[in-house]
Amino acid sequence: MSTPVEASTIDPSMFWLPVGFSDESEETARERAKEYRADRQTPASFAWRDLIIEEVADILETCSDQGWDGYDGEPVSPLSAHSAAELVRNLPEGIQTPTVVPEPDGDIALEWRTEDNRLFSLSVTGPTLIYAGRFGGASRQHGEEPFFGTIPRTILQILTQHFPAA
Amino acid sequence: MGPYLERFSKFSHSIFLRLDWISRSVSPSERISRFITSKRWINETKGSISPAAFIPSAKTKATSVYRTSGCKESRVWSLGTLFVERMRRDKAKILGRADVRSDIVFKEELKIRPLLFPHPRHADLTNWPEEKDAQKDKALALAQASALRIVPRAQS
Repeated sequence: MSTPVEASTIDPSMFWLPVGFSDESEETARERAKEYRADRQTPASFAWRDLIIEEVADILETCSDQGWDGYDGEPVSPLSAHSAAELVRNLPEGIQTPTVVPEPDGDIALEWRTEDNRLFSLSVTGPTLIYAGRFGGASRQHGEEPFFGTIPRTILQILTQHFPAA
Repeated sequence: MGPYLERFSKFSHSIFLRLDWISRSVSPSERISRFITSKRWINETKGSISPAAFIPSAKTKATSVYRTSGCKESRVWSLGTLFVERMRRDKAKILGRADVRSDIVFKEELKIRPLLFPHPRHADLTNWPEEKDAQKDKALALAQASALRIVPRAQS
């Protein structure tokens, strides 16, 4: 039996404090808040997200021991599950449903794959999103982006361009 | 077969399997097999493997593999059963394996470091970058180029 993971929705305005912020970071925070609100205005069905969050909870339950992968896998922590659930809650509509996989370092990744073998992996470690994608031929992209409860534009573009819902 | 006789049979089989010789240098056309025990890393319907199956261990900074070129299928599965599955504390079964050619590994600037323990065909994929996004990038390439093989008992 799996246990639902509690995950609160992070409002970027929490991080949008005018005092002590440089103009640049304030601009970044404004941009994040704008993206966050735009996402929230999209009509959404949350059913698939709930199913994926249920899978995250299942991974937390089944991969909580050292060596769960048959090798030296680090246990998946409640914090990793919480972060992954937060990520799932903030995915946009109109994209393929991802698969959820545990990683040997204890993180949880979301993966997208197409029939023509385009592949994208996205995981969250603390306040950082880590991603890599191979999109056919020499087209590839990888990097890190900050995650404060909203998916950065770079990653949104990858998801909507390469992995639209069928 | 009684439990003691079965254990003795497996023990002698593992001794027999260790009587194997393979060159220390890895050629570009070798088959490299990663045994998989997590059901979440394979999609049997699509025949695909998750990149997570290749991400290196945070502890050893390496990915454990077997060099299986020239081995019959039954011998490859015996390697998995006797030297991966039996070493698990929870005794969970291997579900399949990802086969990838060594030249794909080299193209990603990874190294294949042969190890003698627990079997002469055991090796580590090393030279992984420190940054996780770069690790993922290479793991994606290996997963895309891999062929999934399901352990025969899982098909029955």
